[in-house]
Formats: sequence, C-alpha cells, structure tokens
Amino acid sequence: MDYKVLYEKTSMAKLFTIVAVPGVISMLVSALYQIIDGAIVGKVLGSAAFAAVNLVMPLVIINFSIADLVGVGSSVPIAIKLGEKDEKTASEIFSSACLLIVGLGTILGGVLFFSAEHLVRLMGADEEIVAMSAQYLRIYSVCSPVTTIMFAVDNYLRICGRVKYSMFLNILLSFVSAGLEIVFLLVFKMGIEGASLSTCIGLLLCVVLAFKPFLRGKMQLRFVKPRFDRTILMSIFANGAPTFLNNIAGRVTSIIINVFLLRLGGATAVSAYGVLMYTDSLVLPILYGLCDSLQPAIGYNYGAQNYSRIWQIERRCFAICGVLSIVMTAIILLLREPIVGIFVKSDDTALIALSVHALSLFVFAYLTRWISLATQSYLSAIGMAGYATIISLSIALVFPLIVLFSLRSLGLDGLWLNLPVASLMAAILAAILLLVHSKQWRRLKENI
Amino acid sequence: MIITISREFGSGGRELGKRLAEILGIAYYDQEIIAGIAQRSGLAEEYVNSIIEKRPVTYYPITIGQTLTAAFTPQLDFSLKAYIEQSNIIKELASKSDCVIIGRGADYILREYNSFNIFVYADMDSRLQRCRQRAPENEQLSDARMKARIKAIDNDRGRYYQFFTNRKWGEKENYTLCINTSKTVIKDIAIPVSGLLKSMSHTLSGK
Repeated sequence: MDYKVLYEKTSMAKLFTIVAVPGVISMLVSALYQIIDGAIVGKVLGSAAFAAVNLVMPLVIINFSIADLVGVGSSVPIAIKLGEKDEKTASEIFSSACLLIVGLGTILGGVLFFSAEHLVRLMGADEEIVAMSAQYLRIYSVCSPVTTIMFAVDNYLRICGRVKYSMFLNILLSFVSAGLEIVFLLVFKMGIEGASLSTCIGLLLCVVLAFKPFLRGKMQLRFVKPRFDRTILMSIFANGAPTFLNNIAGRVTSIIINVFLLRLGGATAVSAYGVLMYTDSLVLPILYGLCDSLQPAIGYNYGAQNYSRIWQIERRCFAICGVLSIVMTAIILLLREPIVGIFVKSDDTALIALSVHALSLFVFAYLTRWISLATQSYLSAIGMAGYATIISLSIALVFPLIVLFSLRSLGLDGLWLNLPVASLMAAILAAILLLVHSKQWRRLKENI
Repeated sequence: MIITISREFGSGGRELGKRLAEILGIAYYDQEIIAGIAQRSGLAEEYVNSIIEKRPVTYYPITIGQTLTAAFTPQLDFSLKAYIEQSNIIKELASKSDCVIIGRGADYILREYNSFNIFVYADMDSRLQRCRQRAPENEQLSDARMKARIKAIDNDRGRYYQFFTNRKWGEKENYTLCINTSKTVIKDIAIPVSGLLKSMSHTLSGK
C-alpha cells in the first residue's frame, strides 16, 4: 500500500471512505453481539437477571483484561523478533505468553469462583440477585483458563499475517454465541447460566479454531519449550500495562456506580443503568471507529510535517463527530421508549419508566462526549500519549468519581447525570489541552 | 571493520563517526538508511524520521463501555514496520562493506557481525557548548531550555533502545569503547581513536 499517496494526496471524501467506514463497521460488529446478548437476557429472563449480569460484567471484563495485558504486551516483542527473522525466540515468547495467560486465567478464575457470592453481596445486592450473579460469574470463572486467551490468540494470528482468518473468527464468535444463547434460553428454557454458557462455548470453539494453525506447525510461531526470561516478562508487562490500567479504570468506576445504584434504587436501578450502558455500546464504537481509524493518517502527516493536511482531516473529523452526536442524541431522545423496549420486558412498567427517565438525562452526555473522544484520539495520533491518557483517565475514572460525590444530594438522578456532567468536564479539559498544544504547535511551525 | 556509534546528544558522536569513516576510508551511513526505510515501507521520509528513534506508543483502549474489541494499533504497526526495515537495511549494509553506522541501535542489530561499538558521552556543559556552536543562527533557547531538550532527546533514545533491544542504553557491557569527550575537540582525537580501533581489531577478530 502506498501510504504516501493515501495519506498525503487522496481527496478528503475518498480518504474517509477508505479508512473510516471499515473502522466504524468493525467496531459496530463487536458491539452488536454484546447488545444482542443484553437484549436476550433482558427480554427473556427479566430484569433481575439483567441486573445480575450488569453487576458482574465489570469483573468478567477485568478477568479478560488481564489476559489481554499479556496478549497485547507480548505481541510487540513477538512481532519484533519475527521481523528480525528470529522465529525461535519469537516462538519461545509465544509459548511462554500462552502458558502465562492460561495460568493467570486459572488463578483469577479460581479467585472469582470462590469469592463470587461474597463480592456481589458486598456490593449490596439482595439474595436473589446474588444467586444469579454468582451463577453467571462462576461459569465464566471455570472456563477462564481457556477462554480469556481468545483475544491474545487473535492478536497472534494477525501478527502472523492471518488477518482474514482473525476477522472470520471474530464474526463466527458473535454468531455462535448469539445462536447458542437463543437456543439455550428460548428452546431449552435455561436460566442465566445459559447466557454465560453460550458465550463460553462460543469462545472455546473459537480458541480451538484459532490455535489450530499454530498446532499444525505451519505458522511462523510454534509451540516450543517456554522460556521465562525476566527481561522479556518485564517488557511484556511494561507494554501491556498502560492498556490494562486504562481499561481497568472504567471497570472500577462501573463497580462503584453499581454499588451506589444498589443502595439508592436496588436492582431496578442497576437494570436501568444497564440499559444506558448498552446504549453507550452503540454510540461510542461509531465515534471511536471514526476517530481512531484516522490515526495513521494524522500521525503520518504530522511526521511528514504536512500541518495543513492535518487541519483539513481533523476539521472534518470533529465536524462529523459533532453532527453525528447531535443526530444520535436526537434519535435516542425521540426513540427512547423503543430503545428501552429492546432490553426490558413490556410488562415491567416500573423499570420501563425508570429507564426512560434515566435515558432522557443520560443522553445529553453525547452532546459533549465527542469533544473529549476526538481530542484524545488526535493527541494520541500525534504522539502526545501523556495528554491523551490524562483525558482518558479523567473521563473513565476521575471525573465520574468527582461527580458521584458532588451530585449525591440528587440521589438516583445524580447517577443518571454522572456521565453527562463528567463528559462536559472532559470537554473543557480537552479544550484546554488543545489550546496548550496549539501554542506548542505554533512554536513548532516557527522553528521549521 | 564495522563501527557503530551510540552517543549522547551533543557529545560529538556523529562528528567522530564521520571523521573515522574518512580516516579509515570506509562508508558512512546515516540519512541513507532513512531513505531506504522510506522506500521499502512506502512511508514518507519525514514521517520515518519522526518515528524512527522514538519508543512507539503502546497504549490503546480495548474495552469500550461493556464490550471488548480487538486491539487496533496502526501507529505501533508503523513503528514496528520501520524498525524491522531498518534492521534489515543495516544488516545488508554491514554485509556489503566496512562502514560506520550512527545510532539506530545498530550495536544490537549487528551483534553477530563482530562490530566495534563505541559509546560517546560528555558532561552537560560540554554538550551545551557543542549544541550552541552548531545551532542555527535564529535559535535562541535559554540554557535551561537547551538542557531540557538535550535530556529529552537522550531519554527518547534510551527508551527506544530499551524497547527494541531489552538492554539498557549506555551500559558499558554493550560497547567495545566508551569515550568521554568533555572539553575535547573531536578533530584532535579522531586519528588516535582510529589507530586504537586498528590495533584492537586484531585482538577482536578472535571473538
């Protein structure tokens, strides 16, 4: 691919179509499965199950994130060694990393399995929810040694060039998991265990399929005797840690907010918040997909010192994000009842009323969320990872916690307004950082 | 004879490398490597220049809301691509003929080529002075700013080296010769250093 032509000379419209559209679509596909999952649980199993799932989901994701830390952190040294044609060392790192992930999955799975009930009770849930959450979490815990490795293997496949196979597996995962869930819940009339079982079986199948090429021995990476070298281990953790911490920050916030929701409104409030989170899963991927897919073009032009081109691209990116956000806010406001209806049984009038009210307040976050998101993506693209991390941690952890305590007199409404207010604060922060950055930029242009 | 020069910013390492190449009559590679990387990878030269001696960014969100997405790492991919091309180019150049290569972690890349690795460093004042001498005329940075810039560049180099080689930049075990060029005029030491290299190369070839 001739990046020079693509990033420097192609017309704006063509650049956006080639780069941004695939990015958005791929992100949406991942999110879509999660939403279908949530919808099935909510509609078929009811709001208590829906609340139970939303309560423990952050823990499940933290479990997966630890595997991803190793997966992502090891991808870099593996890619470097393969690039140097040192397949032996690359395979050693690969084997060690896989073993490490399975080991970590076993330990963490064990911890979660035995502490599942206790943790959920600690959050403040009543016994019915505790029982369901524990069941859901326990199945994930038992399977975690062999399922958490999925995204790591996905990464390894792509490093070895099997990009299409990796995409196929990701799509297969969504289909199998959704299909099994429909069968388990609707045909076999299973309870909440059917939801987690279907995802775990889907993951297990895809993990096996993903490892098949490696076991055949025809790939650049093979299973060899693992070697646990201290420096390699440290570099794996150093590479993976920033990603891990960023992801964990958001989950910790979710858990804390869940605790408050339980205290202020019980399981119903948790379910209502769950609806908000699933809506978020539809909106954010679109914005992230757009902005992040433009990162290579921005970074490239920044390095090539084509500053006017960057301005052209970013201007349009921000504009599209802004317009899309306003449109999506309007759509969600107008369609708030049908949207809630996707996740909530139609006879559960109390939950529907609460969710609609919550969504009406929550949706205003999207008027400002795009500002911090686009800025973070842009700063990251031009190499200012420090500023980007500040924004990311602020919106994921710091501001929500500040708002949580500031708005506590508003009770549940304070929780629905949490993201809108935090998002506004983040927008202001982003604007400040952009101003600081543009001063440095001007100085840079004068020094050329 | 293959010579790699790793250096602190402002210590005169590049100048030493150029002079050694002249004296010993061997090739000297610096910008040509960038051009080579640009050509092979399809990236712009200025872009390669901006990413090539920096530690790549390894931060990317993989969870959004309640979902896990595949890690999307375009910038890291570019940095890795550039590094790998650079490795290949440096190895090819070293196989072709004797040469001097400045920076780029060449001492690690050519670890099996029996290269003579030099680390050039100096105290902050000497480096400040050398930077001022070589600075363009309209550049008016205060001493404090200049020092900060020197430290930043060295930090970037150290992190880059550590990231790709897993070794600590500047650690004496990595080099054949470490030379402190504080208060020294590079021109004066170039010939003696080349003589030292020649004598040591006889003993080194037994390595």
